[in-house]
Amino acid sequence: MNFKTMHLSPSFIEIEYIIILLLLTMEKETCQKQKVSEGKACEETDIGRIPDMLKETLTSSKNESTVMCQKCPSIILKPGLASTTNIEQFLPFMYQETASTTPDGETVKQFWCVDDIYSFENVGFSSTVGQIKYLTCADCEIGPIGWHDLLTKKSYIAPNRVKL
Amino acid sequence: MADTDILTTLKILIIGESGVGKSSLMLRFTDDVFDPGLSATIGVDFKVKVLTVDGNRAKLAIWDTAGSERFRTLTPSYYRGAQGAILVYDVTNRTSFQKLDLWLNELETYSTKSNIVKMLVGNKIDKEARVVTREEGVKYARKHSMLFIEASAKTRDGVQCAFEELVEKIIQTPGLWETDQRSELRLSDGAPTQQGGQCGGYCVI
Repeated sequence: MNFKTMHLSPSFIEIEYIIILLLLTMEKETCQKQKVSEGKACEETDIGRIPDMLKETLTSSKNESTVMCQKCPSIILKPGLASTTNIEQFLPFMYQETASTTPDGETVKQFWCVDDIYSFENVGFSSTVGQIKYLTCADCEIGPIGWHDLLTKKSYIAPNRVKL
Repeated sequence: MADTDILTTLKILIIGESGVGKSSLMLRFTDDVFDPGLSATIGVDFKVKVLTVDGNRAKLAIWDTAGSERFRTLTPSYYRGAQGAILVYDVTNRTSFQKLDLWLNELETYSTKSNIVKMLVGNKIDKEARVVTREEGVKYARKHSMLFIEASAKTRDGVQCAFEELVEKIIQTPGLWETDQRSELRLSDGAPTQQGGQCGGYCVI
C-alpha cells in the first residue's frame, strides 16, 4: 500500500483505505500507550501487516464499555482491553435444569478476546476441562461466562453472558 | 486508564484440610454473596481479583486447591512464586488444626520465596461447637510468625480484613514483590518497614 498513489487518484475505496489507515494509526497510539503502561503485547499494531489489520479492523473492535457480571455488581473487565474475535466454542448454559445430568448448552461464535489474564479486573477460572478452563464471575461464581484456552493462554468472554 | 494504577500482581494460596471452608472463604474474600448450598459442578481453580490497600491497587491471583488436597496431589507448581499463603483450619474440628504442621511443612518445602507471608485463619466461628480456642490459634500463629484472624464465610467477619492485612504485609516486605511498570508505592502514614523480610510476629485483628 502506498499513500502517494492514493493521494494522486483517490477513488472511493482508497478514501476508505485512508480513513481506515488513520483509524489504525489512532488505534496504534492507544495501544502503544497501553503497552507502556501494561507491558502487554498489542497484536493489531504491526504496521507491516496492513492487509490483516484491515481485515481485523473491519471485523473486530474493542469493548467500549466496562464488562460486568449480569447477576452481581462485579467488574470483570475495563474498557478497551478485549477485541471481538470469531471463534466457535460450546459452552454449557449458565442456568441448568437441576434434574438434567448432561449439561445443555450452545455454541457461541463470537467472543471478546483477552490476551493476558491479568487484564481482567475480577474473574474466576474453573478446573481444567480438556484443554480449557471455564471463566466465571469472581464474586458470585456464575458461569460459564466464557473460556480460557490453556494452549494459547487467551481468554474469551461470551458477550451475551455478561453485562456491558 | 485501565491498569496504570496497579502496583503489583501477587500470587496468594489458600491451603488447609478438606472441609475447613477454603472455597467458601475464597468466595467470601471477594464478594458479598454467600450461597450456603454452593455446589459447583466444576470447582473454581483460581481467581484474579483487584484489591485496594492503603491506596495501592494490587491484582491478586488467588489459588484454591479445588479439592485436590484430599489426595495430597498439590504439585510444587501450585506453590511456585507465591508471595502469600492463607492457612485455614476449622475451629470446630481439632484435626484440621493439628494438620497445620503438615501444611506448613509442605509450604516451607515447596515455596520458592523464603519470606512468603503467612496468615492463619480459624474459620467457621459462626458455628457453636467450637473446639479450638482463639488463644490456641493466636499461640500457633505467633510460634510460626504468621498473621492471625478468625473468620466466618457466612458473616463478613474478618474475611475482607484478612486479605487486606496479608497484602499490606506483603507490600511492606522488601524484595518479595515487584512493581508493575511506573507505578509508585503509596505509603500510608508511616507504614513500618519490615526488616529481613519475615513477617515479624503475629497480628490479631
